[in-house]
Amino acid sequence: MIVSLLFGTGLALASPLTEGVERWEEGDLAAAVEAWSSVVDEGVPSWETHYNLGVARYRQGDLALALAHWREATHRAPRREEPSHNLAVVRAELGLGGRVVAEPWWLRLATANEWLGLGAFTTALGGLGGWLAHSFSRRVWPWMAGAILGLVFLAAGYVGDWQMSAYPGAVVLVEDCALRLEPDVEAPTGKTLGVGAEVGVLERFRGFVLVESSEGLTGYVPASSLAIVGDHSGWERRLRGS
Amino acid sequence: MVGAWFWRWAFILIGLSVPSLAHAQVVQLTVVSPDLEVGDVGLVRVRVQGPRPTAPPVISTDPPQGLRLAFYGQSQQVRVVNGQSARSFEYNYRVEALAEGTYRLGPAVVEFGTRSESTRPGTLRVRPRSGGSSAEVEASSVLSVEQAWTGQVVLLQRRLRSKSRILRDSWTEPVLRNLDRVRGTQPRFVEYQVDNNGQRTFVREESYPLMVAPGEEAEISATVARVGIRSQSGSLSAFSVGRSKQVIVPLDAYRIKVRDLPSPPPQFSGLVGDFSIQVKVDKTAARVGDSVNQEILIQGDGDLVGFEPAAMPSSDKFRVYEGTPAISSRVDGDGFKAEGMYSRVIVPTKAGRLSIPDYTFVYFSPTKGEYVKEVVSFTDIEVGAGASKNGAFESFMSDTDALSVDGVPSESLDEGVRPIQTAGVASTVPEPMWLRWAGWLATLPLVSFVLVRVGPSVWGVAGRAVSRLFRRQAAEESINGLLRALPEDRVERLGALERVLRRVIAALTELESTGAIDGAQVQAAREVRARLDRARFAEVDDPTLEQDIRSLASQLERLT
Repeated sequence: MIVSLLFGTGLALASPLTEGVERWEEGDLAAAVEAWSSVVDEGVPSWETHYNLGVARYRQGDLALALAHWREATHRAPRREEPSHNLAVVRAELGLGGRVVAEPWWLRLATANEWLGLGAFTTALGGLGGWLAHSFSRRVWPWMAGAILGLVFLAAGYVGDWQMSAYPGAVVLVEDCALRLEPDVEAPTGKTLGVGAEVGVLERFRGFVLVESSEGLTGYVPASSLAIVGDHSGWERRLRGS
Repeated sequence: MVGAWFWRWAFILIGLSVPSLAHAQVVQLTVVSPDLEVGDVGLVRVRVQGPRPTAPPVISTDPPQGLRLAFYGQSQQVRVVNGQSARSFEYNYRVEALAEGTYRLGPAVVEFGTRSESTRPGTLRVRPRSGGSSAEVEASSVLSVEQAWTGQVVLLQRRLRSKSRILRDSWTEPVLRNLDRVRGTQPRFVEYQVDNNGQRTFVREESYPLMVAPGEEAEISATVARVGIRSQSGSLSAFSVGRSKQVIVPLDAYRIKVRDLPSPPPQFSGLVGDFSIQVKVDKTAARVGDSVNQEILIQGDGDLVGFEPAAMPSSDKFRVYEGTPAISSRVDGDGFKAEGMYSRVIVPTKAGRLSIPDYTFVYFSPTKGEYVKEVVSFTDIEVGAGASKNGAFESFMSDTDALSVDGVPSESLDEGVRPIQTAGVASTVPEPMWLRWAGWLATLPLVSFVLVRVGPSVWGVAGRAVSRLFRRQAAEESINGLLRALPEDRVERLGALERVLRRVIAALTELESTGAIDGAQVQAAREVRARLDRARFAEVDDPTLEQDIRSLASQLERLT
């Protein structure tokens, strides 16, 4: 909890959800969406903001955006039940099937920052404990084992963070998004992905993204047609701009 | 008589006809290498003079199997004749000989918009490989079964065996008939050595899953394996240590018999293979509105891509939300393995005992040769009444219309989706840069402990081991060490004596320079060195040579 407070939500700005919630309660859905969406201009949106935006988009009938926001929410708060539940619901409604390109399994237990914090704490504690135990002629190996466990946690944090930034998941936001052979709008096309399809990002290149579909097919799609998990500011700003 | 006007007009007509001749359309097929051995690669060229074809020419082969023809590239030439440009296009094709025989290549069909032209055909002869290279490498490319059922997954197994180390291999992809590649599965590569009484055999194996399509017979066409092996007689390569050479091994086509599935029973899933099924429900007690996760795990040796269990319909007691299947497959030592995890969320909408319907799974088992039906049951779930909380909205209640959450009418909330979060924060601060380094800093106590406390003992042990190693080497290279371990072989023995004598002369010369000895002893040692050189290079027998060298070494030992 302490670690989580230090490295995660505890560093939150005093920017409550209230404005959007008030608009929601007044029944002004568009204003609520605007209030929550504007958060991306001010800082890093919390999981609650993404979650609420997902509910609002779902209500507006935009299932792909709802899916994208809930994936963002689960990315930030993997242990919360609400976004996971809503994800299952919207995936069932979209009915696209196939394998979901998801984050590493350990990031479903804790965020990369939480792993880093836990790893740093455990490693430091084990290392310092080892020094003290050695100085007082006590057994050192339990502390060393703790420190090594901490290194494993650190590795989980660093690797998870790298993997989510290098190979994140993404959601297709536009209809009939064709996989292209080359990063070019005139390149030959292959399979067409439906709106809401979940893909894995393999590479970004000149405004195009090389993605892997749930069936294992790869191809280039325009970056503007995707919501990339972890890149909230990119696609949310783009959508608001459009 | 022919008048001057005739010649004038004749010249004009000839002049006009030359450009049109330059534009004449010519299509020609040339087999650049008409005589090949199995495994060789040759070139076929189609030359088109005139307008640009709309597509690369298509070349047929007769018989169709046994050659692999692939478009290789094209070039264009422009010639100017009498001020008129004439273009010609060359289309090159790579032809790989896979099986012995005489083949007719072409005619090549060249398309110019709506019309097309054909070339004359060419002939290509393929002879068996000369030299018997297959003795060095044994290769096979077979299917894992001799007969299969339609829809069954079989393995294309390639194996290379050689007494020499296998450095690299490449196979010409065979043409598959009534066989489809299984998508999303990586092939299996294994490399190992077999040691049979000191005789090593290097083995390299690859396995690819293929699905059998309907038909009487499935076939993998003839193919060629190109194998690079370590060989003393081979050539040096910049990319491998030592000498290597390439061996080409032709392989014949391989066929298996295909059997059609018998008439399917009701509820047949379409799956062919031997499967096991496990089911799991994460709760046996829940409240109205809770999510109950149900998972069906199917494992087996058949392909699961595209398969989904029959959807469970919702009822007045529960709602069902089908999840996204997670399908994976691999090839391991036991063959092809596929696994599908099918999940769904069941949300009770009424209190009481909830019975989930049985799941029936019907598939065709190739080993039994018949359809197998499995019925799995789920544990009943005790459903309690939904929790009442302030602000919580249990959206799965059937009578939620009258409910409201913080003033928001319930009809504005969508059934099945959890409500919004009313508490919490909207944004968090950006992640500070130092956070990434905090993890590394945290390792400092551990690293310093290892370096300072654990390190010295480790370095000490390693240092002593290295020191012992150096001392042993120095002792082996010392004069006495060399004299103790003189080899039996004459040439090697004389070589070792030369090393001894060199050290003796160097030591005596050093002693002479300090005045400890006079020059006579150094001169005597040099005379022995001259005898040693005669014995080594003129092969003169000198029975006292070794004894004299030992005497010099003894003298040196006494002096030092």
